[in-house]
Amino acid sequence: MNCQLVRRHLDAYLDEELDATPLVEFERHLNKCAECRDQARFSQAVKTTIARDLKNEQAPRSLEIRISRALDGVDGAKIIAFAWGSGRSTVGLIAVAATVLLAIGSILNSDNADTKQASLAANYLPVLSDIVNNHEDQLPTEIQTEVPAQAVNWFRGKLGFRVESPEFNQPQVRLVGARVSYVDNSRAAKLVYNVGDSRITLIAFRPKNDLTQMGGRRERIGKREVTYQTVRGYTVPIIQHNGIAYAFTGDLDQQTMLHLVASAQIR
Amino acid sequence: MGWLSRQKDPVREEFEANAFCHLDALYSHALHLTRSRADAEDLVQDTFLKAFKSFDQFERGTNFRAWLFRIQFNTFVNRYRRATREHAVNESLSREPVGDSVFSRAVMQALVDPDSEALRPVIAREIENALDTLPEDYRVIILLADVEELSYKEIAQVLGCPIGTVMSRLHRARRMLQKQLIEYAEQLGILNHRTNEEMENTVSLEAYRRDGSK
Repeated sequence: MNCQLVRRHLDAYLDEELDATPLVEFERHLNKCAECRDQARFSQAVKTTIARDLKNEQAPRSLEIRISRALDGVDGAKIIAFAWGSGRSTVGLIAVAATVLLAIGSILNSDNADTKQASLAANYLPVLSDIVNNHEDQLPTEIQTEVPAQAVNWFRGKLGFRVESPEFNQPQVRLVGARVSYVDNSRAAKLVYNVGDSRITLIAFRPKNDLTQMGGRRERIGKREVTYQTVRGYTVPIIQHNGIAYAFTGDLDQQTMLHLVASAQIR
Repeated sequence: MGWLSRQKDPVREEFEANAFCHLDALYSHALHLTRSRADAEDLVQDTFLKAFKSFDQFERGTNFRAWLFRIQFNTFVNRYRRATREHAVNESLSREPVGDSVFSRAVMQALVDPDSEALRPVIAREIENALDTLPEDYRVIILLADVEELSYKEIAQVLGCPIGTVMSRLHRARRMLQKQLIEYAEQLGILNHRTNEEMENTVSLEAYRRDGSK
């Protein structure tokens, strides 16, 4: 090997990609050529420095949690699609019927409780998904106020229903502002709160379907029972008051979230 | 809780068991690509989502790590890189000759730390800045080879190009990086082959950067 060939093979040598035969020739040349040796030593020093100084940095733990939540979303969608499929097969003979009938039929005819729940959940999925999206999108508020009554007044005439402002029995919850938003293609009120460094989004909307049919989990906190859903890793407590649903999504753990909502009074 | 209290899907378990051990590597590579923590986190999340959604297309037994890096790189290219223009620049750059063996032996010797066989600390500090001056394709290939320690075959998979291209691009990238490092060393006045008079006239590295001659 001459110098020119050695220079051409230098990268493969550094990256340990040289085959045995050229490797022997390469090293033989290095042994007798000080110039190529200096170049190889310098190139190796640069490579070593990069490997050492740009070493892999640890991903924050919060990223892992975020990814798990995001995977929950994909997971849930997959499972519901699957359940719908099996629901259809139980009523396969009437598969040509109108889709509305089919949907009802699959709920009524199915012995499979999971299918039934999945079908119900599929009805509510856009609602739940919109609620959590509202929290995640972090769109700026249209009105900035710490005074709940001001936010309530601001919503007047904008929603088509009257929203009330919950009062939290916890001083660290601070209203930041509000904006008009959407849930399931209908207008909704969005109120943003800060709790310490965390953010809570309250979505108030008039549900199209009876939310009591949605199921969900209940937990007793003090004297109150809080109903909540788990959506993409978020605990989403939902309170109903005068036909309006108030759904809370926040960057807080489940217990804090539930206690907070249990302390809320809607006037 | 009804529909949400399901058992974990076995496919998801398999995916997580294989993918999460590459989280740190994907994240730090994303940091180098995007140069922002927020963007890096978004990029890695997108990568995981895409990988999970197309997990059934992954050929079991082939290199999962390279597959993840490929998805991440493609996502980055599609979303974060202002595609056409920057790419055009890179292509024109790659046709420019880099020149072989232009560095003097004295210079190269002066920059290697005899104890660690890495670069001398004073110039090692500049390594990231030097990398940042490279066109993106070149920076990426050096990171894949030297930080992620992927083989040429894996890099070819990640970038979707032939191994020959990997080799020529890597060669070119390293020459450009070395040239840049030597220029920095001259700016810093740490090369003793220069005369004192010349050193006095050397602009400081700060001024050099401030003037934006990057």
